Amino acid sequence: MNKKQIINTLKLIGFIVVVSFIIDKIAYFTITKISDTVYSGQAIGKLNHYLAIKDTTKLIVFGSSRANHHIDVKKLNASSYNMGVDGKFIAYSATLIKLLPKDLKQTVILHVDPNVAYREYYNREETKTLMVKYHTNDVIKEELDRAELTNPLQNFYWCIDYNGLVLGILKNAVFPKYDLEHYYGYDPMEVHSTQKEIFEKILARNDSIECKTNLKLNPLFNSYLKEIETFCTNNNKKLITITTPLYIDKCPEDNNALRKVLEDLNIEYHDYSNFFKDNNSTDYWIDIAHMSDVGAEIFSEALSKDISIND
Amino acid sequence: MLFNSIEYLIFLPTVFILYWLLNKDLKKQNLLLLIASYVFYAYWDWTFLSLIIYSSFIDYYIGIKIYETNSAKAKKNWLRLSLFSNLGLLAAFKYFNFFTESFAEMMLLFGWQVDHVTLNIILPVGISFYTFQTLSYTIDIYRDKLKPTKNIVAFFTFVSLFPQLVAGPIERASNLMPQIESVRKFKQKWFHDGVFQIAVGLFRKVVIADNLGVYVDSIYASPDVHNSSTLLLATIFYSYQIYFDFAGYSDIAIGSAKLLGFRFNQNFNLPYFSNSISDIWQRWHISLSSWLRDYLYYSLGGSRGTALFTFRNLMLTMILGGLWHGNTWNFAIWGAIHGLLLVGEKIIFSALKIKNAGWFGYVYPFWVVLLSWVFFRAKDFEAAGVIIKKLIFFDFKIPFIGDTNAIVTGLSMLIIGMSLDLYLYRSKQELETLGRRLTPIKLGAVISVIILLISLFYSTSNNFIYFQF
Repeated sequence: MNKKQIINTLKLIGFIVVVSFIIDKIAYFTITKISDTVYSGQAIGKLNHYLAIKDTTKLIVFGSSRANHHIDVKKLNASSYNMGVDGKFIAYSATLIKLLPKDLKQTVILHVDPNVAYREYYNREETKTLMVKYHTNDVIKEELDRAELTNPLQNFYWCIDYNGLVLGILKNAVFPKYDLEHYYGYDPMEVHSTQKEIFEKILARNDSIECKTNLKLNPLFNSYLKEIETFCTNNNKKLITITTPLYIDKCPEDNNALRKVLEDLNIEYHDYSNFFKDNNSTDYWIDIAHMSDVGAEIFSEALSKDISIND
Repeated sequence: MLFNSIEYLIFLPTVFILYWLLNKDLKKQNLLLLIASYVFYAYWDWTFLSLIIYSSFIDYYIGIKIYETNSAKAKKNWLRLSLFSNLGLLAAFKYFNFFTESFAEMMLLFGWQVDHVTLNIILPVGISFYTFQTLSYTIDIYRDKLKPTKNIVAFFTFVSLFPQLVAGPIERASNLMPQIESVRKFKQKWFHDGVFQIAVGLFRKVVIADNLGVYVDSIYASPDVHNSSTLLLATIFYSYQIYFDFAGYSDIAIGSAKLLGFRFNQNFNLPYFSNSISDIWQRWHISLSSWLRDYLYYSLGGSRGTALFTFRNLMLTMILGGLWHGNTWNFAIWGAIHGLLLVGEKIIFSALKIKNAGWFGYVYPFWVVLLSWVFFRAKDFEAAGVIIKKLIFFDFKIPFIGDTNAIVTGLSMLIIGMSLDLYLYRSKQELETLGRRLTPIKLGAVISVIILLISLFYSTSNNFIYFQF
């Protein structure tokens, strides 16, 4: 390698580093500008919507798709929002709860899934979608750094914040899904024929389920649960935990164990896993763990009677 | 160490700098490559390094013995020892459970219940690749096509050279050994080719293949609950996933080698632009298909006999080639389908006295190969049967989409990937030499855009598919 080759090689590498950095920042700020205007879609829109309403809303539901698709929050309180998001669990919820205003009196309903609580491996990877606010929100940055979920290159290439989300952002910017004024986070699911057919085939298969025997609370779940409880106690929030219905819950052991944990922490808990045990119908369901709009409405009505908060 | 990891991003430039600093001393340069290659492999599992060292040592020694022995019988015996050692390793680590289970199932057909032993054996990454590579060395010496090396470091480097160690391309000693044993010169145009091919390879793997894989994995996990159009869509996606996964891997391997002054042979040449099944096999995993042709098909007699004899050889080569990929009957069936297709094509072309099927030749290979991919991807024979049945008795229902974002991202990136392939096909250029055709400014700009696309769309859902082979 002669001197000329070394200079040419370094020039090319330097040029790539500089140009890729500039292109990255141009793209990042352009996407951020678009992204901040998006209020529809589960990944970005809902997060933006939450950040916009969190300081003025009295009741907010957090949790996974089962919270999102099962709880019609307007039946619980007029000033409410459902922040349940597909595939998001306690780490994601905890991060968002920590963004709530310090002194405002609010009710936090947290959907807890015993199956996640007693999972051997739970790596809080779902919080990765909060990456879109990594360079703009200090609380989120701190949580993501703590979870060690960031890409080492992310401090150089900021566009990694939007990994896998750009097309969704563009789509939701051009064709918003909701009428924002009327949207409050609840996404009931209609059953389509293909989905119904798949569900009936799964039921006919009658897969055997092996219930966990040696139940051990996942330490990460436990730690986030305690953090949420502490935050709520210190910041004027009423914390209620619930588990929404399953088509059938053949393993109640984990529910009972989780109930005990929540009791020890003095957290209110309502377990509706077997809500439809005596009057079930496939019309109420999309799949084993997700209710259809019909099932969700019936459930929400009953839930409102149990934990209605009207002040 | 994976090519698409941060570790490799640090490893490759480090080796690159140290390597060219030692440019004036070939021995030290080769020793550095050997150590770097062992570090690269040990990063995955250091215990299996001993297998590579064992395989290297055996073939280094046997290579010399075959060359030095004058007796034809002794030469043959040394070759047998090499075959036994290398294939024995493969048999023990890859096929032991397959043999015992298949034997027990066969006995059951006759009504005999046989207790068979299965071992919890971990497949050492790359074993199928480096055993074939070292085998080609001893066979070439036996065939008087190659002289053995007495430079042990050079030979061990040949076996373990990190860009091709774990998933090929399967480089022949006739191509690689002379390059290892002679002084390499840094070539600016090779550097441009290399960085460009690495960038394209990464894009093909982590952006196209891994995004398509999200949908494929979700559907193939429960094929029994999905309708025909969903399974067709997933299988089409898989055919592109596996192509971009392995072609992407080969691109990074070939590009990395070029940065170090080595020229590897092309491993993929736009296989989905083939105009016949035999054309596909000249464009897909070229290093394996040419290995099978030269060391198996020709050894069986090739086409030096009756048509029936040729067909038998073709079938055997393809079935064994299928089994090389994995230790289940699905892979054997996949190979057999390709064997039958090649035989059928030969018969029809010969009867019609044509060399290819004209425009129709650009259509049918993709679709028949698509069906064979079902056996390659399905988790077992039963699942493959369910899918094939649903694809044949098509129900024309709306496909299940699932995660819209993943499917749209996968499709968009697939269009970009196929556009590049179409450009290469129409302009009759090769990806391997595209980097040098761009000015440094254009090259830098294109790579920067690729980096942006990778940042925005990469997925980490899947390992390299060929690692499991």
